[in-house]
Amino acid sequence: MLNQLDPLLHSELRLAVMSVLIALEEADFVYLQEKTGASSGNLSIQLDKLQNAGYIEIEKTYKGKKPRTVCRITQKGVEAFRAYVEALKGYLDV
Amino acid sequence: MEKNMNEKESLELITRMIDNTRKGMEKNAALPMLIFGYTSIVTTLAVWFAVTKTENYMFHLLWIAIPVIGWLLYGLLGRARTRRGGISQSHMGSLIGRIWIFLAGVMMLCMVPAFMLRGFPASFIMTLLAAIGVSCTGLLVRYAPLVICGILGVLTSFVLLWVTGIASMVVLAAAFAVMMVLPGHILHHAANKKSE
Repeated sequence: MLNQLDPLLHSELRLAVMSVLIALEEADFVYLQEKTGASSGNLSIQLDKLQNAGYIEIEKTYKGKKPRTVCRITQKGVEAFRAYVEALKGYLDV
Repeated sequence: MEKNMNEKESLELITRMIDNTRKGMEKNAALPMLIFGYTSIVTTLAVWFAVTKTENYMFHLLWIAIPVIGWLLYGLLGRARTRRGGISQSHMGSLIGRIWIFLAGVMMLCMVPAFMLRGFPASFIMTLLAAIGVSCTGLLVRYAPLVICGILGVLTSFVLLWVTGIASMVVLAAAFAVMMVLPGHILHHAANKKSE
């Protein structure tokens, strides 16, 4: 019996964001936008969804006078990502 | 806009994103090594030249240029880079950063007896500490050229127990070239090659 894929992670942009954050301690909004190539609006929406699910935490700070949004993956996010990759391997039989 | 993918595309996306993130980290790691490496070489040769020509040992105060100019250049170049590509911090990067801050603190502390005690082997201790830092960084990121260059730095540091006085500055400059500039260029070249 194959595990069902987490619908929250089974979306291109959200999965891209989680894949970047899993390799890092933290990344800001500009970094995520540069890595994923997403528009600001779309990225904001997907980050909110990941935050509401408890997969990432978002901290709004200032760097000088400029606002800065810092994202970090949570333990729940790490576990969900691992489970997602395991499920994928099951589907692909790797 | 949400785009769903099939399982194969998902796995490819995960691999691609993690690879891209790692490449960026490698490129970022080369920058401080090149900046501090070249700053250290130029400062060392400047001290050597000034002291040899004037025999005025006050020129040893020029050593302060390494942290001052190094951090200034790193801040300026780093800021230009982060303005374009944003800021990220890896777990490994922050661990390595803490190790280097500790080592830099010990090196600064060594400056005190170096000015007060005659015959204090400051060059040996500083080179050894820097070489240990390079080797530890290489071991943590599992990058063989860094480990090898660090070990070469450790060996060069022992030469400084015999080559003393102002002549040791030349050995010191060579040690900085081997420990920092060489692995910095190797790392930068490898990161560029991967992104092609």
